[in-house]
Order: sequence, then structure tokens, then C-alpha cells
Amino acid sequence: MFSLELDTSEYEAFAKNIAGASEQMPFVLMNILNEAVFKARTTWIDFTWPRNVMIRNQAFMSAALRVDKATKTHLSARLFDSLGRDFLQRLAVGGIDRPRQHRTLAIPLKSWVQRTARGVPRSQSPSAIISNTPDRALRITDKGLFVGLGGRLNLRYSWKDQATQPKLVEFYEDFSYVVNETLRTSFGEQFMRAMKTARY
Amino acid sequence: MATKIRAVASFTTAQLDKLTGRDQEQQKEKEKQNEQQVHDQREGAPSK
Repeated sequence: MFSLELDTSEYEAFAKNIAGASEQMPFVLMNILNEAVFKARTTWIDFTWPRNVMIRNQAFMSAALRVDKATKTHLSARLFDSLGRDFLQRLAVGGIDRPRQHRTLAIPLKSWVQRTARGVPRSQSPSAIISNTPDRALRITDKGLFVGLGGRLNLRYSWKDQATQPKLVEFYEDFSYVVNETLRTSFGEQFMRAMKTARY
Repeated sequence: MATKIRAVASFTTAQLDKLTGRDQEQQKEKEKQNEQQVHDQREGAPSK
């Protein structure tokens, strides 16, 4: 989890010097947090994700990202992945990809596999290759899966115990930048709006 | 369990108290309580 605590020291003068401002502060801060986190969500979908990744499913990020809004009594807003895709966190901070259901990871040859919005097509999966290839053309070794074609063996999948995933997408850096910028630029507007709607 | 991507932005209670002036109220209340405590101790002390 990435946690960002915001600096409010600049706004203490507002609260002290303007009558009725201190009562409106929870409302102002709540609105700023919600605005900032929704802006960060848009940034992740429109800029951060396309900038670093080849997109095959256009709707993926907007389907995955949800916001838990702040309230006046709980001044904390959260942007999270509701689909629970752990690879997003690995892309954000780097890490090691390990097999979940099987003993090894089957890594397809990049120049051969055709990835779609739903990943590797079923017809190119290791089980499909094994069932569709005649035994005389199929070789399964400790290193990978080979298919005999054109008089020689062609690698289709290599087996790995784990794969290193370098940090690739700057999710948290962009989040920090957008939220801080929103706090800096929107405070005045949100403050004015709150004072206009204040009840005395 | 796998870690999911999650980013949180928050303000602390101390920051909110500063902005709403509640920290000064609490300080005053604390001072009042201390004074009251000192006063009670003096009243309750046995005379020589």
C-alpha cells in the first residue's frame, strides 16, 4: 500500500483569520481529497497505463480501478484495484512472479505468441500444443516445450521457477504528483464553495 | 496472499485539529484541568 500524507501548514492562516472557516475545514478537506483521488484515477487510466504498457484491453483499467471516498469524519480517500490483479502491484514496485497453480511458469516465446486482450489464445496454450502436435514432432524437456517444424526444433515455451518483473509503471509517483497538485491548485476554489454553502 | 495495488491520500487528526482550532481548545481544557487538580490538592492537604 502506498500512503500519502498531505501538508496543510499553508492553510492554517485561512482557518484562523476568516470567520467561520474552521467549521468548514472538514468539508473542504473531504472535497479536496475526493477530487484529487478521482483525478489520480483518470491520470492512471489515460496517461500512466498507456504510457508504459501496450494496451490490448481498452476498458481494463477503468473496470479495475475503484475509489473509496473520504468523509468529513474519515479524511482518507483510497484508489484501489477491485479486480485483485496482483501483477499491477508488481508492475508498480517491481518484484518476482511465481507460479500459483503449477510448479513452473510457462513463458511463451515473444516472437511467436500472439497476445490478445485476454492473454495468450487458447489454441497457443501449452496444453493445446501438446494435444495438437503429433508425438514425433513434440519435445518436452526440462528447459521447455519444442515443436518440430521445417526440419528443426522450435521453442514454444520455456519453463522457469520464477521470473523477475522490473518496475515498469509509475503508478505511485503519478498519484503523489496529482494529489499534491490538486491540493495546491484546488484549495481556494473548494474553500470558496464551502464558505458559500455554510450554514450559520 | 498477493498484494494489490492501493494508494491512499489522507489528512491526520492532528492536522484537522489544527485547522479547526480544536487543538487550542484541548490545550486550554488541559490547563484548566491541571489548575483544578492543583487547587484540589491544596484544599485537601492537611494543615500543619
